[in-house]
Amino acid sequence: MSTASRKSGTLARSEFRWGYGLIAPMMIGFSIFFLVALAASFVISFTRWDLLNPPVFNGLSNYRRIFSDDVFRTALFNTFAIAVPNVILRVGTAMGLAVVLNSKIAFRTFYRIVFFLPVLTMPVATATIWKWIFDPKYGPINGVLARAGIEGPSWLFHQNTAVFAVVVVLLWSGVGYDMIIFLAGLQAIPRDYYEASSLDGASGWQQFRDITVPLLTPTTFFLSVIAVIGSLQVFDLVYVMTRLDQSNRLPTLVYYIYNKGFEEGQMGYATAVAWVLLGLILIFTFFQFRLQRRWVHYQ
Amino acid sequence: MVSRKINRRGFVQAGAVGAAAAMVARNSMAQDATPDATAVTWEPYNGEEVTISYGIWDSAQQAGVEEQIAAFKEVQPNITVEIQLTPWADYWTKLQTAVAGGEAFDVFWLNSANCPVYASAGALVPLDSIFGEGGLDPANYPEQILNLYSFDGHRYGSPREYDTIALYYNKDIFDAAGEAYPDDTWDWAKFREVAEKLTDEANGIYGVGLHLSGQENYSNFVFQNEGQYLNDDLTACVTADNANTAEAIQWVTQFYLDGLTPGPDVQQSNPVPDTLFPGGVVAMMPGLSPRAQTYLALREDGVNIEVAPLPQGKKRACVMHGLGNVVWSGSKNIGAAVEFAKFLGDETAERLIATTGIGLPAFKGLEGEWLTRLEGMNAQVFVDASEYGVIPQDPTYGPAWQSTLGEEITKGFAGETAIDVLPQTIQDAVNATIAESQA
Repeated sequence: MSTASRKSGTLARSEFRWGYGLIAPMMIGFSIFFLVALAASFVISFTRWDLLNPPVFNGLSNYRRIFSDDVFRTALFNTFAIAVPNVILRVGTAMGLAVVLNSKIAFRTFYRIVFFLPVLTMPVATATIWKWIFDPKYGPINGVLARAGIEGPSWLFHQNTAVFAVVVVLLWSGVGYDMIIFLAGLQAIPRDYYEASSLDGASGWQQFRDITVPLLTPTTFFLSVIAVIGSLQVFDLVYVMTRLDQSNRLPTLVYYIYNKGFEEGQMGYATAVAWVLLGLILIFTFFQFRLQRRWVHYQ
Repeated sequence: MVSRKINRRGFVQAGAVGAAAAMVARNSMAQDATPDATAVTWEPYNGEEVTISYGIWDSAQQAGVEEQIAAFKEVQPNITVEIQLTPWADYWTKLQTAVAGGEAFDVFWLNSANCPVYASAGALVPLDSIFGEGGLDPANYPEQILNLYSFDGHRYGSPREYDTIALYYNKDIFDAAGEAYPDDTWDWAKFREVAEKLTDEANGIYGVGLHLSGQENYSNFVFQNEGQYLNDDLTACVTADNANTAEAIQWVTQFYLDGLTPGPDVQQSNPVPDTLFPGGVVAMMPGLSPRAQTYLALREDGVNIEVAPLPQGKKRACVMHGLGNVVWSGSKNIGAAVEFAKFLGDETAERLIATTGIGLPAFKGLEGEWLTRLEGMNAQVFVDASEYGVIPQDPTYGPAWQSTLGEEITKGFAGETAIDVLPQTIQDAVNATIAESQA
């Protein structure tokens, strides 16, 4: 008995050593590149630092400044103006596309590929092409409008039309990914449910409403969480589309962080804004997880 | 220093964030808060085998730089130079973080706008010693170019190249309208008059293309009108207080309001120098000398571009800008780096700029070879412009104020800010940025 326990003790110790030894490389990398960086950025957010001269501790003044910063408010507003329609349209459109492309229609694979292709395209390339398409004078959109006798707006120059344009392009470039996830979700729903319900005389719409939608809710939930986080962090595509020489016609939060930190050398302030953004993302994700109990059905 | 005491206490209070982070931060804070640039001490190069890095941003010029390095290898066989190319868009970000992280290039390109920033932060080695006897002769370079890289009485740059601004024009548009080409007699009134005549809305032709950059647009006219953006000690913006500046800004803005130049909304996806001017819908464009080669090559496609001096205002002036080689004060091989920087400023290396580069070599007397490569175009006007080129004001708090200036003046061009209050709006906004940069 005692021998056995000693043996298992040695074994446990050995397993313990091996276990930690094996995850050590991962944990060391994680600590250096994530934990230390995270903690350092938190510390930096309480300093004034231009990267070239040593940082100077300035207490809460970065965070106080955020509340009286008009450009921050504009960036926050723009970010939500893009995020809200983006999340709703993306998830809604993706679900619709997935249901259609899950049914037996001609050229199904072809359509799936076509809708998924933009996901594989670099955001900067996407943005550059769409920037030309939206060009007020030489772009095809305003060209078509002009034929119809309508003078098209300077799409990317004015805030309202720029938000519209950006949401369209985000939808175009991102819906394929969500569609693929929905397709996987759809194929996980057992066929029996549909067979049983059609025996009971349920219509196609009733099946969609009462079987498909509820059983897809875990997927919908996952995609909404991802979409909210992604929308709040929107940067490259909007940056390239709305950039105008030294200014930006549609500054978003992440652009503002980049602009303050790297273009204007205010790393302390930029880091403080980044922490506020992290706080916003945490709050939204927290509420999404709280609310999921009411509408997400796991089989 | 008081601030340092506060720092320490601050970090003790923030102890919850973890000892490691605090230590990283505190180590970087332990450096002297006000570094004395001239206090950098270094040993002259002693001939041992070393490798140094050379930071540049233009891939188009890499081949020329490689030739310069090969020529240097013949003089200093034991110094190996490795090129580190970072595209312009990321260059400044990378440089900032690399200096902060203690991993910057030993020798690197620096533009004048950033020289005071890095020099005042103690990041550059003073290069006074490479000038004078046995080194570079200051008489060989235009004075403005030497001044570009001077800060607090010290020289920090080994001159590489410079650029000036002249008026590019599309001969075909002038011919079609039967209008005489621009020449050195032109003044503001003539420029405006011809711009109006050549603007043809029905056919989509603009008389002039004013790019949304100070360097290729409004700064030239501000300097020609004897105006300036900042006061003499660089502490405040004076675009409204200085009547000359205000007048020039409003004169330029009127071109946009009258539709004589593509507006900012059109330029958002079609920058004038890259698409609209080469595309043949713009008749005249003030532009940078390095664009000459690209525009000359367009003649093969039937777009005939020529160049004339900028029209003059109260006086002749244009923006002059330069690019120099500097040495990082944190380098482990300052001695070798200084040798390389010195070589780059001298005739052998400068001649390679004339024959391979796009900028004008800083070394006087080598312009001829640059001009030979532009045969058929009146590029001499760019060399002449160095006589009256004006160096922009570059404060130690960095170029952020220029972005604000650009952003605000663009609102005026777009008609979002009324032209009569534009100079004041710019002044207030730039002053806010300056206050922020120094806060």
